Order: sequence, then C-alpha cells, then structure tokens
Amino acid sequence: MNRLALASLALASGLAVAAPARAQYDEMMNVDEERTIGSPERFTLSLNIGMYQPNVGNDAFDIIYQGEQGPYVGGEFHGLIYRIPYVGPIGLGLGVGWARYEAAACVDPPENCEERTDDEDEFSLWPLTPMASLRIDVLARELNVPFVFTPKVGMDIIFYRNELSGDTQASGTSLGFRWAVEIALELDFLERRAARSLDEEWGINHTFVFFQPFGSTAGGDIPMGDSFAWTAGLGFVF
Amino acid sequence: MDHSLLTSPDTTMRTGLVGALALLALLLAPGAASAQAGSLDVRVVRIEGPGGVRDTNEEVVNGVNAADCAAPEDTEITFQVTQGSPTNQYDLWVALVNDCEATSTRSGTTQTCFDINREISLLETNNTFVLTLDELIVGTEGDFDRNPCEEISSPQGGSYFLHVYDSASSSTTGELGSIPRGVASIAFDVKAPNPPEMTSGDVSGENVAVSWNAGEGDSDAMQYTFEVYDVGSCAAGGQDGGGGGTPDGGASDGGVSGSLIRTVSQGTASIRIDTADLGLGMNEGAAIAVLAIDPAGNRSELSSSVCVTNVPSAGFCDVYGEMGGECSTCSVAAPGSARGVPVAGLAGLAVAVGLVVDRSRRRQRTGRTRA
Repeated sequence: MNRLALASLALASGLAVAAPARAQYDEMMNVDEERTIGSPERFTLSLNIGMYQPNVGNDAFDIIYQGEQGPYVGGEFHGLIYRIPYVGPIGLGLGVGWARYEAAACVDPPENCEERTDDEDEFSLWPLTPMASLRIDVLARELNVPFVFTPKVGMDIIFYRNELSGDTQASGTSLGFRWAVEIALELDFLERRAARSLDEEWGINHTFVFFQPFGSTAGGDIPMGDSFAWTAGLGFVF
Repeated sequence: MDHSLLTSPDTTMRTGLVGALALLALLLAPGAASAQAGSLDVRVVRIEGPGGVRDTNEEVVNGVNAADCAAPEDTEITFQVTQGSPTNQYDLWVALVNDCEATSTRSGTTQTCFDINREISLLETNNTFVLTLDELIVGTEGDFDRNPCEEISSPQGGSYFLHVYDSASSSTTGELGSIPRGVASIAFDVKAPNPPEMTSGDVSGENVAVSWNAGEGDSDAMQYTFEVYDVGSCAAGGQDGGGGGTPDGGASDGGVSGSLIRTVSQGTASIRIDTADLGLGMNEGAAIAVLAIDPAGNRSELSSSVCVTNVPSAGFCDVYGEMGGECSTCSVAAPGSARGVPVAGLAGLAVAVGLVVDRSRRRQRTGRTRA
C-alpha cells in the first residue's frame, strides 16, 4: 500500500511540475518545428514483443513451465508533456502487456515433476504500467544521429491467473516498481522524403524500431516481478 | 372486280396479329387450365419413427433416416394439403422424380410414377393425412426405382415425391386435364456418417481433453452432433474395450454398448472429461469412443477408443505450495482497495494527461491565431 501511495504521489508531482512548464514546451516545439519542418510531437505509441519470466520466489515456476519465457506482448502510449531543451520530451503514459505460460501438470506428488499427466496448467499475466519517461532525442534532433534513448520508471500492476485444466487455482494482483530503457533507432534516415510525407499526411513525425530491457519488482501473494526482461518492437511519434 | 376479296396490308397485319394471339392462347392453355384447376400445396409436416420425431420445418427438411427405413411400418409421415377439402377423395402416386404430368410416366414400359393404391380423405381439423413409410414404398427389395430407402444412398441424401390428385378415380391414369394436383417432396438421408477419427491418444490426469475429427470423407462434419461413450475398462497404455460398438460391458444406448458420457453440440470436436465422473479409482482407466449423428439422425459406428486413466495431477499451485508458497483465488481485491487495482489513481492520471494535452492544444491554437 505504501508503495502504491508513493508511486501515485510521484505521478501527481510529475503532473504538477509538468503543467506550468507547458508554455516553455510549446516554445521549444515551435523552434523545433522550424528546424525540422514537422508537426508538433505530442504522443508516442509502441508495440512490442519479448521475453518475461516471473520470479515467484521459489523454483515452482521453473519446475512446472521449464524455463518458458512467454512470449510477452505489449504496447505503450505516452503523452509528451514537456520538452527539456537539448535533451528531449518528458512523457507520461501507460503500458499494457500479456504473457501466457503453458505446461502439462505433474503427477502428484510432483517430486521435481519428472512425470507429467495430460492435465493442462496455464499461467497468464497482464501487466498494466503507468509510467513516466524521458525521451532523449538530442542526438537525432541536433546531430542527425538516429538513436533515441528513453529511460522509463513506473508502477507495475500485474494481474495474474493460474488454471489447472480450466479450473482457476490462483488469481490476484502483484504490485511493484518498473524500470525500462528504450533504445530506439529512428527510421527517418532511410527515406527522408517518405518520412516527411508521413508527417504531412498522417501527422507521424518519426517511426522507430527499438529494443527495451526492463525489470519489475512486482510482489504480493505470488510475486510476478522479473529482475531483467526485454522486449523489442516498432513505435511511432505523432 | 370484287374488291371485298382484296386485302389491304392493314387487314393482313390485323389478321396475322389475331392469329398470333390465338396461337399464344393455345400454347398457354394447358398451363392456364392447370392453374384454373388449382394446384394443391402439399407438404410434409411431421415424421415420427424409430429415427425420432421431427415436427419443425428445420427437422422435417432433414427427412427420413436409416432408422426409419429399417422399420418402415413404424414410421409415420404426416402430410398437409393446404388448399384441399376434407370432403374430397385424393389419389396418391409416388416417384423418384418430380414430374408425373405425362401419361407415359404413369403407365407402360416407361413408367416412373407408381400408384400406391391408397385413396385418402383429409382430416377436417388441419387438412392432413398420415401414411406409414411402408405404404409409400411401393417397390420390393431390388426395385431400386421404387424404393427410396435403397435408391437414395448418396451422403447428401435426396428426395422422394408424393403426387396427390384430387380425383375420385382410384388410379389416375391418362391425361390429367383439369384435375387439381400437387406434389410433396420427402427428403431421404439414409447414409450414416463414417465413424469419427480420434485425434487424441491415450490420456491420463484428472480432467483431460479428448478430441476427434469427423470420419474420412464426411465433408459436412460441422453439422454433426457427437455422442461420447465410456465403452468399458482399459489398462493404462492400452485399452481392453475396443471401438466399433463392441466394448466390454456398460449399458446399451441406441444400439451402442456403453455408457453415454455426453452429447456434444454441432461444430464441437473435443471435450474435457473429469475422470472422477467416470467413477474411476486411482490409476484405473476407461475406454472412450465417439459416434457421429448427422442432421437427419443417422448414427455412425463408434470410433476406435482411447484410454483415459485417472492419475492425480499437481499444477503450479501444488508445487508452489510444497515449496512454502501459498496460492489464493482471493487475492484480486476490490478495485480501489489496498491490494486491488488503484482505479482512482489510474483514472486521475488519465484525466490529468487529457487536461495537459487539451491545454497544450489550446495554447498552440491561440499562438497561431496571434501569429
């Protein structure tokens, strides 16, 4: 509960700081518009796929699911609320995800699960992550080096459910801290004219591919955090 | 010169027109007569026999099935003549063809329509009459052109026709003329589906899935209903009871030896079986087989069987519990509570982001207007 309160407080503080600074952001954006001749950058949207294996606090997950790591699929949406000059925009947003693990159940008693039955054991999790980000795009904007680095922090709310042959055995919510670093390669350099056309017609300023290491400390009745996981995907700034 | 004998082009044209109209009237005459005589609307409204009771439109169109054909004297077909009159007598003919108009179809060596030697009256209440399937089949064994149970053998089935003549004659041969008449189509589907093919092998556990496909060559398998049977005991790794309706023990159901576990609706080809429901002890097995039933009610033979063995299972939570953890299905707390989803926080965040975005747009618009 304390962690939840702290995270909410942090987000609220972020918003309080962000709102008055909006005018400054607009000024910066206008400058950038002149430089890049593009529409304002207001949002980012990304879709990703990767690996995630919750650390439940003991070896049970490994024994049953034999090291399965997903896949983990997800998406993030951020609103860019303030641009730090010569650094990049700060964003607030929400990430959602889904991962599913499936294995045959063990013969009871399990004894390291050397024998298995044909009963199906499934574990599903759905992370929901409000987060703050800093999209450091100074290299791309000032030096034409198309790399953008985006550190992110947020609060993981991971819903989970375990089913044995369709019967729910466990379900709940696991809360914790989420960190991530998105390493993105903007694709504008491949075809600058097409990128500009995409902006003019659709308002999409940049398209990028990315790799994102991340981790979660989500705990609870059954901890769902994973100290190190990753996703990769495609994103848009618009 | 007698001018009256001369014809002007106008007169010739008029005469030609009248002739053409007369010819047209002549050509249309039989049809018109038929229409005037009043065609009867005859249809099947109910089939009741060993193959089941079918009394809705959807059921009746699936028609007579193999079980009905096996006991034709016990299968009753109810017909309704909507424009008929209970005071009239009706002469009945049957055919594998829809057309019995020509005299040659009802007599001689080219005969394809057959008098069933029944004159009937309609029931006053609803203009219906009832015939047994036995009465409709005028042929004997081998008389393929007169016996729909033998002749209509395609998997999709076919139709047999009852021709009804509003005629006092006991045998309406010769020209039909103005006799009011109608024809009812009776669907026949007497080909049983092939036995389903099991796609799952022997399985063990507490609540296991068994699946199958429709039999080879049965293209409309999505229309089939399936019955799943416990057809006897089996040992783990191999069954004693076999398929094909010859298991060891169990009750008999519709000619199938075994206990019906479940009827599976159309379009479904798998079920989960709780081994406890089969009354199995620890490590005991039951042979499970499936049969298919087509929309007409024809039942296939049983499929080959698979062995379902009762073996206790341990899932993630069992293993987690053995290692000191604790699973709970109650750890989803109410929204907004301490361990639940911080809905209020999320909603606040969404509203805040929306306000910031909205404000930024307004400022931008204002800036543009000033510029």
